Amino acid sequence: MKLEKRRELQSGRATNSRIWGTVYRQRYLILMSVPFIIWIFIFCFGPMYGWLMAFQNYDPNKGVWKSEWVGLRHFISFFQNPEALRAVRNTVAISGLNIIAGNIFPLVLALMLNEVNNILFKRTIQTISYLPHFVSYVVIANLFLTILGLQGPVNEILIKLGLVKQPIKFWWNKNTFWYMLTGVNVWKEVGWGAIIYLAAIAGVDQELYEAATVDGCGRFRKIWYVTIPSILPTVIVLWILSLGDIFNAGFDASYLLGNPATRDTSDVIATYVYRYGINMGMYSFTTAVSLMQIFIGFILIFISNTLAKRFTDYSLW
Amino acid sequence: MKKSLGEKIFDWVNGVLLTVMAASMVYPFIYVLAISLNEAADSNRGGIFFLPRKFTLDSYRIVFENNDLVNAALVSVGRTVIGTVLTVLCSAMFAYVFTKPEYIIYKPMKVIFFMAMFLGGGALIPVYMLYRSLGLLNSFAVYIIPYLVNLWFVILFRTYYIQLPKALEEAALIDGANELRIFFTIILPLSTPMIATIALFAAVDQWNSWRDTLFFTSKESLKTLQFVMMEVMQKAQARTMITRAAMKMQRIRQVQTADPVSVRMAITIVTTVPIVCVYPFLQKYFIKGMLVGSMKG
Repeated sequence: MKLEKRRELQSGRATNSRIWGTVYRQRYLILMSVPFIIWIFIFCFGPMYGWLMAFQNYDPNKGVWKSEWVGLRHFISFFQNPEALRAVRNTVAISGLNIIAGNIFPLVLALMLNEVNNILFKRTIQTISYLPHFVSYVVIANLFLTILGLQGPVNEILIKLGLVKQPIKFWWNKNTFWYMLTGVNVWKEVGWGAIIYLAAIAGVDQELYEAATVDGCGRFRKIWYVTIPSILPTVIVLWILSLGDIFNAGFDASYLLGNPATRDTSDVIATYVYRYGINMGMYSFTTAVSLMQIFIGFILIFISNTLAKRFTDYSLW
Repeated sequence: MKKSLGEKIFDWVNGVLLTVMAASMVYPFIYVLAISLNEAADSNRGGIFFLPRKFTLDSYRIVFENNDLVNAALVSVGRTVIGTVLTVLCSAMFAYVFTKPEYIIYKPMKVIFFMAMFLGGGALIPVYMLYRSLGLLNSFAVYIIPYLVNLWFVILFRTYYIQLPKALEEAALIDGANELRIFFTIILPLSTPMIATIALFAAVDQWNSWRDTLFFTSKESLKTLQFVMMEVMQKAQARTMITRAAMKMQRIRQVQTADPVSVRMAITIVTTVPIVCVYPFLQKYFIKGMLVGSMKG
């Protein structure tokens, strides 16, 4: 009995000292990681504490624990608020269009680039196509507001050619705003998006092309019967995974390119939250709106990932 | 191999379409450049498409002699340099620990990491409140500290490290070097291509960032170039800036040769040039980096 106890104690002490020995040996690893883990706790998990604000009438002077709790009131008023629902509609529409166009055009560009034989020409086009990706949205908005402005070159040419009498108000038409925005986003990201498709195309077995040539296939047929089927798995994975973004329309585009005349179609959740949250101090309500967005975003990522898993052997986790 | 007529037509059409696309990406910049170099009063008459008609550098003179803009440029450069160095260093260091499965808290650390990937960031107001309680609002630190570690970059670095040869590291360990030393003397020097890629990504993010200025600061002295440009774009600011600059330079002529539009164009060019000068040379790096990243999800 006594002996057993002593043994237990000893082994306990031994594991203890072994742990501390490991800790001591790995002290540099600790030094190299613990500060960043703390950083993660503060900057990634810290905001989650603030989610509580969604369930109360948050008063900055009282702080999160002393503010009045109101349960789900903000979530309910969200569904009764036409302006908030409009922002949801615009978010889904804009990001939906972005996902569709943002997946098709890079694929088409990659297929076109792949057919170019002149390496120098191909490189030049590619290099230029990355340019808009690296430029800030402020610059992009500035360019498009200028080029398609009332006195911009596009209107000038259209008028000179006699195609229109009055300059077209490209950016003041709420009926076309979604499509204009999609156009700008495609323009910005098409080259960047094509990189991954080009890599997939480069991985296609060259013998397939040779076989197709022997069978008398032309260029279009080779694209249709060899290239596209070969890269289809990659394409499907990318498309499915991008579905997770459908509730995430960017702040930049709507804030910079939208104006009061187009607010009806340009106001998305992100701009709505900014306007009412930071500018007008409706902290709790806008936190509830963001929370809803995050929650739906999770569900969408989960669904798209399950789909990806089912139809391909690829998934995020 | 001889090409058939159909193939030739195909090549031509393809080439023309690609050229048109590339032109559409370059032309806006050319137009903006032309306007920024042309006398404002003359630009208003229209008809400028490629080249300036009445050449002047006055818009640029206003940009570079305006104290607010010079200050904004300094803030932009400052956050880009400091932010990039720190982000690259911190992300690279953190990623190195992720190559050590024997590390005593490796597993919990991994769980924390992936939770942060899915849950991090998000709602604007809670982030705002957090920064406020940390005293980050209205300080330069808000441009640096929230970006110290980039989880995405950590993954990129890690995928790069695990394909490095282990022998050097083991040799150093036997010689009694600690991990910190190994990281700085062996791992970092071996990963220059990855560092170049990530430095480019981080620098571009920092240089282009303007939302944090809008959300978290209200001080004049913390405005970045992008933010000032955004303000000028929304016009309120431009007039006063021009008249102030004109008065300072005691040249009434200025008001004729530069106006809000031409100054806006000049700022656009000034903010774009650094990027145009850098990214083409890092192409082969960032393409590789992007592919590694997308394979890993």
